[in-house]
Amino acid sequence: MNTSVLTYLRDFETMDPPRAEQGLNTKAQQLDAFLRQVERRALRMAELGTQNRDDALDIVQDAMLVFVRNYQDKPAGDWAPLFYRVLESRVTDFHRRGQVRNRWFGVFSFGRRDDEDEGDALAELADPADVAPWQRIADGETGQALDAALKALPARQRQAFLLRIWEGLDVSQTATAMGCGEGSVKTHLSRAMTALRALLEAYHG
Amino acid sequence: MAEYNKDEPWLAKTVQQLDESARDLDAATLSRLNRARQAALAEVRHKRAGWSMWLPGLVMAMGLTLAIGLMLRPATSPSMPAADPAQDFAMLSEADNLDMYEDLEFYAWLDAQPSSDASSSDWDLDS
Repeated sequence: MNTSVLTYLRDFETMDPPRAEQGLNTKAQQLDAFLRQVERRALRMAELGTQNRDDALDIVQDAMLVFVRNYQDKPAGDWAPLFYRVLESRVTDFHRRGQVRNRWFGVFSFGRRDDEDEGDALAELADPADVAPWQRIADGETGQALDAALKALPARQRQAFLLRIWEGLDVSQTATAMGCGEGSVKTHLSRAMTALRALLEAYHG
Repeated sequence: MAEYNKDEPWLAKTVQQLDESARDLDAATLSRLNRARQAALAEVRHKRAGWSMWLPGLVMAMGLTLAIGLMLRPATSPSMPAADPAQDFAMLSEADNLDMYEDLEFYAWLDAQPSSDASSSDWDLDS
């Protein structure tokens, strides 16, 4: 029998854990620390993307699983952009599934509109009580106003802003996380900053 | 040119509010995040189980199978030479060989006779 196999079997039977086990425990601790560090911000990002906390929690859980399964052997320095790349792809998948569901729902519900709304022009009008983000800011509800301003941004601009400004990734890491070039990151961030500044600067002073 | 100025008041306030919104999560949400993290970390242990937990058993089973196979292997027996179709064809194609088959009874009688060595010894005695 091969000498290395015999050595492995001898190590396996001894009471001391083999070196490989120690390495895996260290890696598990590193992954635990990393996921603890990013999980809350990841949840908020997913929540801003989906506008629903339960969906966001499902997405974060899925992203954690996929990240650990596929990228645990990558250098720890690369974990943040890779994790956020998985997260963003899950948010994108969420929206795609929603679009497909709405398309099929629209096909099957064709001609089954609620009789009470049929011919009612008011049902087609926007709700005047549903105020725009900048009006919410004026209401003074800071958290809601910020959420509304971020949700009002196009998805790519919001991603660039949150990853670059809040998470603190550099341009290269943000590009990796968003799956685009560095130039696109700068463009999206610039537009996001312009839009948010217009919405929030007057409010925050 | 810098993409943004970190010192802009509205930007600092925005980051601060985002930090607060991530910090002040309710207990149920934190519990779900914890469970999600633990489920993901179980993948690390699962990956270890995938190769190292089964390896000793696999090696043992392979060794046992090899040992049993060697013990139960049948004893080697001399193998019969394989029939050569070319020789058979050559034998049938030559006329002399066919004549031999016609005198097959004679050759069988000749084969049943005592060996030539015995007869030669008789010659020796007579002489």
